[in-house]
Amino acid sequence: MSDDAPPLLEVRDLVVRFDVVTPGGPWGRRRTLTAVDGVHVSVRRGETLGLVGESGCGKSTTGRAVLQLEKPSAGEVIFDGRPIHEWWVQRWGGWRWDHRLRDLRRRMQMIFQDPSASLDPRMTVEAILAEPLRNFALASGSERRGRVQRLLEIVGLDPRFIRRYPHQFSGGQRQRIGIARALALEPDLIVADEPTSGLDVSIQAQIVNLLGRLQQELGLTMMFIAHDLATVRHVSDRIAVMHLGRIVELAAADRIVTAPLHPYTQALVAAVPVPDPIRERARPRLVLAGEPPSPLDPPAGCPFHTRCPVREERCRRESPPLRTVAAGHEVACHLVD
Amino acid sequence: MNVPAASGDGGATTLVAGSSLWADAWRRLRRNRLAVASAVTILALACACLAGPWLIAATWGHDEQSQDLASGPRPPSWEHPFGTDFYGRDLLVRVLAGGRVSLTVGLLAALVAATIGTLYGAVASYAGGLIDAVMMRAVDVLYALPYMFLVIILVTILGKSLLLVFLALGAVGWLLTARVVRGQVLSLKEREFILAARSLGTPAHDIVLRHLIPNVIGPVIVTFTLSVPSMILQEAFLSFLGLGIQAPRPSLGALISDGAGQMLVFWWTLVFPGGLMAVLLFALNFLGDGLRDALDPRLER
Amino acid sequence: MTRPATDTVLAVRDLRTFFHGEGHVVKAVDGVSFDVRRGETLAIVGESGSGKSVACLSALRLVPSPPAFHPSGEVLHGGRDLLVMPEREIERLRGDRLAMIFQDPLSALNPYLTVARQLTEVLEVHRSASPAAARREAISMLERVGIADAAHRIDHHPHQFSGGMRQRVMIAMALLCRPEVLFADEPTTALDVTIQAQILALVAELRRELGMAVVLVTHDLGVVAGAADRVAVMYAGRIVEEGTVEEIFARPLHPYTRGLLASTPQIDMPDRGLLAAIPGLPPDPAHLPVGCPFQPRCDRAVDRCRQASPQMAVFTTSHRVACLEAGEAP
Repeated sequence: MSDDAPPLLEVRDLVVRFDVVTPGGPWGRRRTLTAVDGVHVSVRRGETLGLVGESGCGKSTTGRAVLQLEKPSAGEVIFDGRPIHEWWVQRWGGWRWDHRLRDLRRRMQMIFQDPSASLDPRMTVEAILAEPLRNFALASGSERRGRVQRLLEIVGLDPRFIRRYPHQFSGGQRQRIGIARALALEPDLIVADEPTSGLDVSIQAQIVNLLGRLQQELGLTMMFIAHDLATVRHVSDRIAVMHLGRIVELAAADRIVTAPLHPYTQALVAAVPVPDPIRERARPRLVLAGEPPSPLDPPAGCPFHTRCPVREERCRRESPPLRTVAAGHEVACHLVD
Repeated sequence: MNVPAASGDGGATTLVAGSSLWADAWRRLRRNRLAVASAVTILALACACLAGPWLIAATWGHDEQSQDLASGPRPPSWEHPFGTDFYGRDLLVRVLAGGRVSLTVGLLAALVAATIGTLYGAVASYAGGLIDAVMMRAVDVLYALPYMFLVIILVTILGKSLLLVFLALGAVGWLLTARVVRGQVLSLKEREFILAARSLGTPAHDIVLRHLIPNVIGPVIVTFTLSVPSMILQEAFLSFLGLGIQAPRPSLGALISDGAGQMLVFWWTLVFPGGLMAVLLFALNFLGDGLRDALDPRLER
Repeated sequence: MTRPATDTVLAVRDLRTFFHGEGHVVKAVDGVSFDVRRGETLAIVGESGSGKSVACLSALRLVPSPPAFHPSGEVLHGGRDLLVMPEREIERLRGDRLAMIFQDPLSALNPYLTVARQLTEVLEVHRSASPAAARREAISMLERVGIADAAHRIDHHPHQFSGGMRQRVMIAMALLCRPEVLFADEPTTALDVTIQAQILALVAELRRELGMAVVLVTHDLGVVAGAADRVAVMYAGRIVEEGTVEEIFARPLHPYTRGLLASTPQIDMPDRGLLAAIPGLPPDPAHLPVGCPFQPRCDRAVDRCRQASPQMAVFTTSHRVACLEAGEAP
């Protein structure tokens, strides 16, 4: 894949804000939560971009805003050269998709974190997998059943399972159903939101391998969102590390884990335990003090300065922009040259 | 391959007939003996109410309206198994004929209420925003009006007929269902599978019909079965006000309220219509519970 | 049955916890034996449904019975069997000599009571401390587990703390009476990695300081590698391998342990492409396969594995394994 080909997905200065009500006063206090605060990233065709960060860093919201399942408050989402963030209309007191965004579902799909929540408990596997096909009138009758069974085979499930309900499967099998559903429309882009984090270790590896295989065979472009850096590194070509709604570092997957530049990335890498007692105990300890700041009340200056072990005076005042420090390596830190 | 949750024949790998929630629910319902017995009871009572008065008139010559002041009120006997009332009318015929009226009114009114209420509540809360606000304020306004007052206005405007009575009751009775469904859908639409359906391009009407309604159907069915007897009693109240079924035509509610007035003297005038009502109520409740369970595939054993 | 060594603070012998299912018996824990020695960290590793949590809860008699029942087993502490002692006596031990922390502190703490109430109650019950002394003690313990401004925050309710801070509160509550054994059931699973690192460091520090033993129940081999002295690997309700942390990671003998290690991504090693996943699914505890429970997923299973369930065999003095093919490892 050539690097000069136009990227499949370009996210420019994406911002997503929510109105929330927090305790305080007789009716609560209305505040604005900025979940995503200027994310800027592009994904090339056939590439897997990993998006990592801790809970509340805005990585899932970024994924949803890319798919327009959440309306961006500002910024642009360019998919295959088209500004899909503009395809919303205001109707009946709310923002709704126009028909182009609905048609776009055939090209971009999502795999959800918790398959027991994202599969309708009252639908059989056949109904679940037939739903996207029916939505776009892609097949009907016995042809549709044939495609449903083929989808099950692709994700490694017995095609005779089509009459079963989600609760009759184990967690890993349910996630395979979720993957099959996302593949049903043969999309170009898949956003996988923590697809393995609810699963057991031995099953996680199965799902990671399955996604890797599918990505290769079907030429998928993927955005892989997770908190587990070791897994993300395994499936991604490049990794973007998010902190408090922003990307703080973006580089090739191996660079992120072997030569991280941002102090937050360094702490994140150091905190991932290694399954080997000798290497684990020999690793440098870098335990961050304190708690991550709340996105409702972000600190001034660099959002990481409250926990940063190397902060300086200007970190409290100026927020560092994301800038390129080496070929393909972007960092948002005042202290990195 | 071992699958933790799979067990029983529901988990068998063979393809069982029926592909929809409804077909599977039907299969599960048939295995619930209490629900099946209740359904059979309701059906048998409905048949008896439909055909009974006509059969008795043909065999014994009793009908529901002709009076014979000399022969009433009498306790149950071979000629009058349920006894006779104050005007000497055969109570068996009157109970059956009344049951016919009340069952029709009760079931149809409850059905109208449940259907309107479910669709209205589901659409309002799924659409959200302004639509929800407007639709639910309309419900609040209707709720604030005295319920019976509304029915009375409807009946007075539209005139008195059996059809209009159940339409009026149903048209007002959906308010509770609409609120119940809206509350359920409100929490349901935050569930991830609704977001997943949207991300698959499922149109809004399909989300409401294929995801939301099947998932709220349990409470709706319970509300429905509980509202049938209350519809029957409300019809009795309307009759009492002279707006429902007019004497001498009987309805179950009217018979019970008549019987209640004289139960210390003529016990049979209360026991038989009351007994029929009680049996109906139990059967409807058991059937309702059975339906609710049948519609939840997770309860399958 | 081996007699516990002198430094053993808790000895579990042939513990079985069964549940009555519909028409069958679910063997959640099926003949588990382990020792917890003074001051050590024993990690019990396994996947969901392996019985690791039920084994610990059973040892503290925290599994409601019925539906659970124990067809065999002893849990020896100070020369007494916890499984048969009167309810009042085990209540006195729990929260005092034997303490427990859970994965989800929000469900383990009472949302309606302040932290102060919940902490001082422990001391008032077990130590008959005066309210003022109990409060002083509780504040100093909260400070010890790293809660800033403890004198003020002690009067907050659990929901006013963040996830990591709540876990600290629960640790403080568990350690108030300086227990001999702390059972930690997935204490960091719900936390972010940077917070996990803080909590694990805190537990290790307190363990050294108080000289208590820790039984760490987890699915995360990385956490085990960093924190444990000895490891017991559970599968389908049984311990399939037990050894020192070095033995388990450097010379894993059971194919399941090896599979688990191979399927765990390692952040400090070059990417090797595919992860070595264990094929198949963990067995349903209600319908265990015949023979060795791991046999359907095992690449080295031979005929005799399908006939009888293997017994624990001693490999070295500290290393035991329940696998017929283990000795012939390549």
